[in-house]
Amino acid sequence: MVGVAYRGNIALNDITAEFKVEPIPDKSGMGFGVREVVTLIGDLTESERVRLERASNFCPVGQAMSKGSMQIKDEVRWSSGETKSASPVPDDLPNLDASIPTIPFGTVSGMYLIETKEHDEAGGMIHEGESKVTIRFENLTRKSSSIVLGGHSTAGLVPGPFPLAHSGWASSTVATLSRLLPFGGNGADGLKVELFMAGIPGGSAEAQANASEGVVGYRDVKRRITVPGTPSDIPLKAVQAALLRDPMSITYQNGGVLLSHDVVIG
Amino acid sequence: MVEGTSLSDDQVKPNIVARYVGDETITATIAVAPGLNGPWSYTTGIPNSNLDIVAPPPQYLAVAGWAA
Repeated sequence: MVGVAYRGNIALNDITAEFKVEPIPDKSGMGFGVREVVTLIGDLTESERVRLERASNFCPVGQAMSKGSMQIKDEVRWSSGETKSASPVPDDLPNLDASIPTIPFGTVSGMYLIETKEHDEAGGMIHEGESKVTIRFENLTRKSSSIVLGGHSTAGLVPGPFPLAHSGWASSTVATLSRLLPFGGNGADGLKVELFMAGIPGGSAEAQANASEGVVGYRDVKRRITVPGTPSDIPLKAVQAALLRDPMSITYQNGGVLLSHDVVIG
Repeated sequence: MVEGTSLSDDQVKPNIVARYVGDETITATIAVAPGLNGPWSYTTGIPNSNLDIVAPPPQYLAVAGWAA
């Protein structure tokens, strides 16, 4: 949004994003939802607020999670050496009785580190800068918290927001498969998910133009799932059925995780 | 709507890899191929009824990307 504001000559001085994460018990659904509040700091008009509100929904990560912009092709590889395409998904998939992990209540708070914004010698912005994100969630016996950094900077000390989100998607896939697949005595040891993605052709400028104009940019990605054993141990259809239960995969393909969205001027 | 970006056939190296490492824990690494930036690794935990998880559930990492 900082980039959209800059390109639109909007006087955005600062910004925060607060997400409440809540479980949604539904065996066939994505299992969680988020409520987002974005606070804009600056002398903004209502039309500028509306423009930035649209941008927050159409940033690449927002598109993936709320618009279902990811077009995924899956491939399954067994440790025995066989590889098969897992897309498209057939209709006659088995029912998997096991439950996926319940997603706990928590919050995710993003704070813009404005001093990390970078300019060229002429004063033009070359990188939007980084954000500090604080995660708080309910653990089994206590409340826990973590901090991650993400954004865009020359130094490249932190990942971009989109790759950061994808790492959560890949991890969610592993978590779901670890629960649903019929692993043997060694459990899910050897389970791995790899993502192969092309960059956005026009880079961040195109992504920000899409966000500003409310345009969905669909993205192709290949996901390779490596499982231990042979196709007899873990059949392809079991993997396909399990993937359809993964919360992040559901929201990446169908959207709908956003329960509410408010953009306010602070 | 715009046309989707396409993967080239020669993209043989993954961008991101996530592995189950035992004890309800997953590690994910971004930018695994040699390059100017990265790699960055993150740990996530699988909520369960037996033990505290050592890091946020994976969905929280995805939302962190959204917040960033």
